[in-house]
Amino acid sequence: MRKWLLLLGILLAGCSYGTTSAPHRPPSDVMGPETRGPVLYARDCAWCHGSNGEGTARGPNLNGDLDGGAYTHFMLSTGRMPLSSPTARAQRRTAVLTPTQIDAVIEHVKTFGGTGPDIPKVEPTTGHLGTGSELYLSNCAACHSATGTGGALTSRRAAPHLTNPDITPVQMAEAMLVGPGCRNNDSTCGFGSGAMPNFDFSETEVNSITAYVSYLQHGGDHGGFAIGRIGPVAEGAVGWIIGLGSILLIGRWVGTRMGDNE
Amino acid sequence: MIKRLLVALDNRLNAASFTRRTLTKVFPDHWSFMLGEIALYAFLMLVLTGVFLTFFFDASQATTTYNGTYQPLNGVEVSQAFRSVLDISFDVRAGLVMRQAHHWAALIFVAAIIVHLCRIFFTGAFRKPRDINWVVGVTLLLLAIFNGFTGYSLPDDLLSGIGLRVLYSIALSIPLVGTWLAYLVFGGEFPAEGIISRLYSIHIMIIPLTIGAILTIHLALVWHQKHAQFKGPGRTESNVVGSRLWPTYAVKSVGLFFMVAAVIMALGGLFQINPVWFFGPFDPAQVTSPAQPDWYMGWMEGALRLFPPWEIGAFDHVIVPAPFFPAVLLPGITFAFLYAWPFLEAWLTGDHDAHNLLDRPRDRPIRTSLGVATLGFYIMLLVAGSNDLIAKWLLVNVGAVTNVLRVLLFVVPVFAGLLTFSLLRGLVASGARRLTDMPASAVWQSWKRDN
Repeated sequence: MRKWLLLLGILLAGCSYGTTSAPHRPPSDVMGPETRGPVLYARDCAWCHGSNGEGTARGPNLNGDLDGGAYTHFMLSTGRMPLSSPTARAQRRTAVLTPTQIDAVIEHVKTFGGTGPDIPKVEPTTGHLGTGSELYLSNCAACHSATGTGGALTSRRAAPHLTNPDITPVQMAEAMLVGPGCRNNDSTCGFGSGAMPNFDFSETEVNSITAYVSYLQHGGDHGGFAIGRIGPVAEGAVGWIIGLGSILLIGRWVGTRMGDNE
Repeated sequence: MIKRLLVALDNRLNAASFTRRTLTKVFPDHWSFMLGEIALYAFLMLVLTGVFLTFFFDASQATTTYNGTYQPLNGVEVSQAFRSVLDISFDVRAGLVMRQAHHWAALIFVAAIIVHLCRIFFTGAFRKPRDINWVVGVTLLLLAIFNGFTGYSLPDDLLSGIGLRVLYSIALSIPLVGTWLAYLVFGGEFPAEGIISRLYSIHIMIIPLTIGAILTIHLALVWHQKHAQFKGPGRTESNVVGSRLWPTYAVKSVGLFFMVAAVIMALGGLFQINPVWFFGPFDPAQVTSPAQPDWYMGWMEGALRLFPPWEIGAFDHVIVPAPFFPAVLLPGITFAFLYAWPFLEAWLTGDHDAHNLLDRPRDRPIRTSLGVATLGFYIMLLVAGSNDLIAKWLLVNVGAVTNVLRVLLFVVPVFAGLLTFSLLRGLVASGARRLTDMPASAVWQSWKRDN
């Protein structure tokens, strides 16, 4: 029962996203590039991150050793930020800001003094799939699954699935560089947010990994319906319900004489 | 000409009277009596597809550089075993469909055995004189599960390697002999060179031959003791009413085989199972999540996930490590009870007579309720094997899921057993033919009448 209430609560919370994220003010593209960033930042970010990115009790600072172009672009372009309310869950959705607005906010956030990496240049076509698969299996599969379906972590966190083709190679590379999400002890992070570490990959390694993740997004299933790519749990269900289920129906038909009721 | 040949054969083998007796042997008619046959035909499909796979599988763990059709693993160091499974999947004609059909057949094989076991249990078919065949059947279940696990481990991919590591750790957890046993089975410390070839011999030779031999005994006993039948007009403890082997039953049975084969091959072609190319070659430094075993080992996996980290120690040493209880003791008790049940029930009820007429589940409400409760317990364990997936789907803490499941593990069987008991009493009291015909008030009435 509690589980169902919880589920209902989650569904309702999901509905409230749709209603509260809509009444954002109209795009402020009428402003010049110098004023656009600070105004958008003050409107959508400062409430939690502080007017100079110093952080507040509601959200982390934006002037640390990982903060900069890559981190900010990742958060804004995947729609994780800005949140519709400080307690909302930072999860992937359609970006709230337009690319021009995102660029403006990034330029403004950079002035806070963060020393993190800038938006990386990624070329998956130059990557090597074999190297990518080895690196992916060694570093990513433990949380995101070998098949890219994602998985549960401790403390109500979950590694998101990577098979969504909307995830761009640049976003993948940014995630590897900065390790988005919160440390496990960070109380300002919302429900279900991740705890990805940042990795020290070379440019060619990043290209290979993004090549492999793009491959996972766009194909790789060869044996028929992929049934979620979650392995033996789905396979067991199909084996019992579709496999043995249909055989039992057939067996019942074969084994029952016409006119028998039982 | 043919007639002369047959007469000549009969003169030497006296085959006519045997054949006549065989072909006219009568089997009782009920669709649930064909459940065991489903398992038999799934086994036959396992042998057929398995023989095909042996033509191409290489059990060596020697490393090689993969250089085949599957691009994303090109240039990766893999074992010969893994390389040959990739070849079967991508380069051997019909290899992937055969590999997948083999795996689906294994899942269905054990599932059919379980359903067959339930039919035997709930109808009391395990009672004397068939208690001996129950023992044979439980042995077949044990062998089927074990062979499933050895097969799951053969491709030498990341997921199956994780399974082997769990097995190795379970072996280590056995007090006193654990480390020796693990070394003996694996031939060294995990991941030992050569475990795949050992498992291969076990998987394709030792266990299948044993299953074949015991299956023969199982069927010979059905033949010799004759099939039990449900009560009905003209059916007594000393006769068998039904259809003759030839032509009725034989046609039905052969038809069933083709149907089973069709379903297994269709699954093999339509549903992807165990995509080892995603998992990549086994590397002890890697891990993937979610990682579950096939369903027939899932209850053990669930027990491992639910059991608290309790250990028994003395003199600064851990004598009994935690995995021993859920992964060695629980399966041990499970199969001990399965083996002992016919004799246990005879002892408990004082009924030591031979029975050739079957019970309906409602005739024995206590047995049926105990059976349902036991199924509830193992289904909850199976569910617990997916606690991480449940946490992910419901967006809740995996620890909370585990704790809820720890409670449900005991609540669900009790509830399921009591519910079954109540329903069966209502069913008997109302005289309804089926559960769906029973008025809901009958359950309440049956309890009220007692007080």
